[in-house]
Parts: sequence; structure tokens; C-alpha cells
Amino acid sequence: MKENETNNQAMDEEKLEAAVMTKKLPQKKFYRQRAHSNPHSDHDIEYPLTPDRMDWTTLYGDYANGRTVEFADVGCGYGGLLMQLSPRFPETLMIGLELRVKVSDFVTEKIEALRQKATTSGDTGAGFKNVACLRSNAMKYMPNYFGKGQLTKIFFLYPDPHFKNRKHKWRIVTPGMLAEYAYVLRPGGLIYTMTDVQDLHEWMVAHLSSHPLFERLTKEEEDADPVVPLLFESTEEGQKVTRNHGSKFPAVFRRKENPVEKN
Amino acid sequence: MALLNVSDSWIIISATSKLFFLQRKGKDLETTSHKIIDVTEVSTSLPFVRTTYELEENVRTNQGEKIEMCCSAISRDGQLFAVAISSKICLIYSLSSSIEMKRAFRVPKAPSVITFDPQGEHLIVGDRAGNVTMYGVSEAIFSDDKLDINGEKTNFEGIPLTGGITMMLDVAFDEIGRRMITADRDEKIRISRYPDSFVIEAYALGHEEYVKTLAIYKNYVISGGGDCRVHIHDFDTGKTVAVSERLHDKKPISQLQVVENNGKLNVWSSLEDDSTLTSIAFDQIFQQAEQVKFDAPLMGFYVDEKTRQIYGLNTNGLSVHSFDGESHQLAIDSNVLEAIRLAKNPDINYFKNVTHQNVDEYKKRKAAKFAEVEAKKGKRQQSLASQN
Repeated sequence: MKENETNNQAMDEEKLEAAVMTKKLPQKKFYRQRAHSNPHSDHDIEYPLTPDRMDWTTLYGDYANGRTVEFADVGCGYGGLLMQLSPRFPETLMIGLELRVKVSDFVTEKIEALRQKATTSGDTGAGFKNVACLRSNAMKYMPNYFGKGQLTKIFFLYPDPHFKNRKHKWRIVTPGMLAEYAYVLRPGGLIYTMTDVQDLHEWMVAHLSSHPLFERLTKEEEDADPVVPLLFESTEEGQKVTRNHGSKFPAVFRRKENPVEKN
Repeated sequence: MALLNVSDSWIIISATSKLFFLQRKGKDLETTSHKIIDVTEVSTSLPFVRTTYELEENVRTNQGEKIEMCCSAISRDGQLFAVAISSKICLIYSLSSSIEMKRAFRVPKAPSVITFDPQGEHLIVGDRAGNVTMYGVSEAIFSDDKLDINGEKTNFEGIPLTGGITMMLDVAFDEIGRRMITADRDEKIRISRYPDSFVIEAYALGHEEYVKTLAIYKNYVISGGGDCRVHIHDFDTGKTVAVSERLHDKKPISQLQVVENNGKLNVWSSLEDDSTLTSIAFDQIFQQAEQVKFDAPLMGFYVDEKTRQIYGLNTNGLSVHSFDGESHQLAIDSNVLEAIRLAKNPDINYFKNVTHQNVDEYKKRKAAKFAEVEAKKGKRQQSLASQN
């Protein structure tokens, strides 16, 4: 008994030390949040007046020097995709945009913990220094963060389906919003969409396909893209759909060159 | 709202449900030969457009609704006048020797700005929902798929140009009509191709508050709004060229007009609820500002570089200041004066109303919650220890 107690004590001290040494991973139970936040409201979002004024070192530290953000996960949720992408693209800065304060805070805490863990375990890659999360409204402020053609990949994974007709204007993919995404996306850059709602999938595919600046990847091109498999299981939403035996509908679109202007 | 539009041959004042057309001959005004049009009749008789998700029996009416003017415009050639009214109707008039209504049509959202394209073929309407739509001047036009900018089937006429989650506050065009510049409540100015507006060429950013008014001069986009400063941006890149001093410590810029003065750019601007008109010359840098005082807060103004006159509309009527410093009040019909005084300004605050999800509050709540969790944990460990 006595020996056990000393053992326990020793273990606790060890745990404590470990906790002090490396920041603990945040627990999701403290970061539960409603499924959506109204993108039309005036949220108190801090955003740069121009992309030039954005100090990315506050998010990526020195890792931001000489690099620009190229991937944006719009509505990144709990950040599952970013954590998967980080080691696969160690030289690329990627950002998660999330409107819900609590959820974006969770992702930030998680990244912080993973970075410290990577440092202590002697990770030789990016060590999660290439990922960050911003609490922001992508439907309003993309051009404040990113310059013309800055991004090479934009992700819309399991966006809010907004089933009601009246709420379709809230959908993340609309003809109006696509012009803004096309502005920040480099020609040749890709938009990835994924949803478990067939109706929304058809909506997104229809609008992206009919937009003059986007074309859908062929099945072969899609299969050859190493990022596509990550769309299925990397996120919490994706895992939930698997548990419920739901269907998943991915689609990938390429940003075309701007049409030549007639004189 | 009382609105003022001036062309070479007409002065048009729009207030409450009435439009007043005053013929202009050079410097002089033929106040005797004016025309008054009341738009109430059109507003109540024009059939409604049913939205796609609305029930058939849900018939609406504009009967008895008080009409206010929202926004107005004159085409570049001075041949057309358009006005949008609060019952979400746009009216287009031809301004030849006689004034005749060409068209009236309903729009789905409350219009906040209208303008003619430089070609004079289309009326461009920006609305409070953040959309910009193109309408035919002589007849209704529709997009092939009959979808609105949100991708939704619509029964309304018009071809959608741009859309965003914001409020559209001004729309302007370059000289030849290849670019459309839009200003919104989110401090943004967007420079799009026209009419292929799905290609955004640049954003002109840098305003600290909403952008209310735009003007184009050569290779410059000039803008003003909530931050009380005149901004000048490069037309192609959107980059800031110059920013003026604050014109006032809190009153936002309400209207801008650019005038060429001896080959140099001169920016005239009025402020919300203010009777002073400010003129600043710009030549590489902003020069000393000059001011013209009116006898009451301005509702609208127009600077005519040809006749060297400045027209100002306020509750006292229409006054004219010449560039030489002379000023006089124009005699206008008592009905016009009454309408100007009765006209209500829209109760819109363009400044942001932030109440949602305050981050500071969240951080406080989070700190308190985690302190609580830690305290509980501590207690549990203490009680465990004491049990042992």
C-alpha cells in the first residue's frame, strides 16, 4: 500500500512535469459549440485592413518568414484536415478559418500543444509550425487576408447545408461568393468540396461547373490527387458520417485562367 | 430622403413620392416650366413578382404605404433619369423635351444605389443585401438560367453581376465601361470587369470604416465614407495612392464629386448632417482644403465646372454658389419645399453593430471555467488524500 502510494505520487509528479513541459492537448468536452454561426451578423472579428498589414508571424512565428499562406480550410471546424495536411506539406503555410470563437480557440490550443509535442519529440519536419487557425468570416474577409492569386488550395469540407430555400444565400458556394474565391485562388489552384448531403453536393457541383473560372477535375485527376483521400476521414464530421453509415460526396475543381478580354 | 440630380438641361429633385423636374438653361433656371410627377400611382398598380418560395394566396399590396426615395441617377448623355423608391421599384424616365416614363419594374431587395452604365444601355442597381444587378433600360432582360446571384431560381428580371455578404453603398464605372467599381459596408472597394463581373481585377482596401461614395478620375478611384478621409487608389491595382486628413472628427463623408480644374483633380465632398462642402485639390499630394458654407445641412450637391456653379439641396431649398463666391437661393415651388422637408432619411447606421460572440468575453468565461475545473480537481484530490 505504502509502496503503491509512493508510486502514484511519483507518477503524478511525472505527469505534472510532462504537463508543464508540454502543453496538454485541449479536451473537446470543454469546446462544444452549436453547429453554426450566422455569417451575416456583425461579429467582432479582427481582420487586417489589407493583406500587406497582416502579420502572419503572430500565427506561425519565424516559420512565416519567407513563406506565404497557400492553403485555406474554410470552416475548418476542429481542424482535423489541417493536422493531416501539415506533415504532408511541411513547406506550405496553411490556415483554418472558423467563425465560431470556441471552436477556433480549440484548434489554436491543439496546434500549440502539437507544436510543443513535436519540439520535445525531436520532429524534424514542420512540427505543426505550418498550421494555424484564425477566427474569421471567410464569406466577408478573404480579400483582407489574401492577395490576388495567393492561394493554391481552398477546402470546403462538410459546410452547413442550409436546407431551407430562404437560407440558400448562406451557403458557402454561391455564384456571388465564387468570384471572391476565384480572386484569391491562383489559376491552376484547386477547390475541394466534401459533404454528406447529396442535395448540397449537387448544388456545389452545379454552381462550380457553370462558373466560367472553374472546371471539375476528371475522375483520373481526382484519383491521382493525394489530398482527396484525406477529405474522407480526417475531420470530425467525416468520422461522424462514417459512424452513421452516411454517404460522402467529394468534388475537386480547378481555377481556370481569366478569359482574354475583348478590346 | 431628398435627392438631387443635375444635368446640362435639368435639375431633378426627388422627395417623398414626388419628382420635380426643373428645366435649366445654362446658368439660369426656368422655374416656371417645371414638371411634377407623383410615383404613388405606379407603386400601387405595378404587379408584384412572386418569389419562388412564396404561396400563391400570399398576395401583397403597396396600397397606403408611405413612399420615400432611395437613390437616383442621370445617364452620362443626360437623356435618362432613374429613381428607386422604398416600395422596391425602379423607374426610368426619358429626359427629352418632354418627360416620359420608359419603364418601371420591381426589384427583390431594397435598392441602395443605382447608376447607368457608361453605354447607357443598362441600369445597375446595388441593394442592401449586397447584390449588384443589371437591368435593361428599354426592356426586361433575364439571365439564361434565371438564377440570382445566390444561385436561386428567381422570377425577377435582371442579370446578376456581383454579390457579397454586406450592404452595397455605391457603384461607379470607368470612362469606357470596362470596369465596374463597387463600394460596401465592409470597408471594401471591388474593381470587377464589366459586364463579366465574375472576374475581380483588384480590391482597393484601406478604409477603416464603410465606403459610402466613389468617383473615378483617370487612373484613380477616389472614395469616402465612415472614416471621414478621402482615399485615392490606383485603378488597376487598387493600391492606396494617398489618404487625406480627416475632414471632420466624426462626421462621415456622404457624397463625393470629382472635377477637373486646370488639368488637376479636385475632390468635392459633403459630410453627413453638415452644411459645409469641402474641396481638396490633388496633385501628387493633397493640397489645402477649401470650404463653401451652406445655410443648412446638405442633402445633396452638384458642382458644374462648365458654369462654375455649385448647387446645394437642403431643407431651405436649392441654393447656388458661384465659384466667385456669390450665392443665392433659387425660387422653387412650395410643393417642392414641403416635400423636401417631409422627406425622411433612412434609419440606417452603416457603422458596425458588434454584439455577437465577443472574443474578450469568451476569454474571460473560458478562464473562469478552467479555474473552476481546476478547483474541483484540487478538491477531489484533497478529499482523496484525506480518505487515504
